[in-house]
Amino acid sequence: MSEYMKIKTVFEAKYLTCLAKALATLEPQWAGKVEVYEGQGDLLKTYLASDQRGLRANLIVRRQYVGGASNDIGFAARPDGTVEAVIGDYDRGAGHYKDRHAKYGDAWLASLTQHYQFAKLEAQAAEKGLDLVRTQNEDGSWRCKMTKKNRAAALAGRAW
Amino acid sequence: MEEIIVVIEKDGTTTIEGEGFSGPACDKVLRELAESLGEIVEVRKKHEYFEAAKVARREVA
Repeated sequence: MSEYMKIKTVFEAKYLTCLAKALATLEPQWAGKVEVYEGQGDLLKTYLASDQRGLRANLIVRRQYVGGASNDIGFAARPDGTVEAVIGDYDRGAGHYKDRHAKYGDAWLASLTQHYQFAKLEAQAAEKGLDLVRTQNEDGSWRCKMTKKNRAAALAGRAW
Repeated sequence: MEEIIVVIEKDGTTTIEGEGFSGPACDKVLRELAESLGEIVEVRKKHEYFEAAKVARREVA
């Protein structure tokens, strides 16, 4: 009734499965191809098939699914529980490739964050037994309405 | 009917609010959900909060 809250979305290791789901939703061609690793993760590889200076990640999309000149795309868990994207300059459109490719640059990461947040919301709705309906606003944001599944329960004012 | 409205912006920034709730239970439900979705960076009292507070003050007087 009385509060409105604004939330900053950060990738977190405890929601790695939601991030994997978001990747597969945003890039349907990656469905079933996102590798998930616990602990220290697995080595990322470059287009030369050598490792990226020992860089590891816990979620990996191998370069053959990303693009011909691409490296693996990874997401690595940090000691503080957050997860950081590990994406090469070519795919991010950074450094030498600034503004030349950028298929997986800031705009893509923002969109991934939107999908990740919705995947977390879906998980919350399923856990609490709530209905979740998503509609898209004109500005590209998503309006998600959560209600109690059972109308009788809703009318009876049962706890959430 | 009680509803929770969550708006996810194109960059993932999220806002959450309750509609149709009565009483303080809403705040608890919203806070739990918000904490599961990320870091709460702003909390604002909605207009209804101040209306309810005015009514409560009148009743006390």
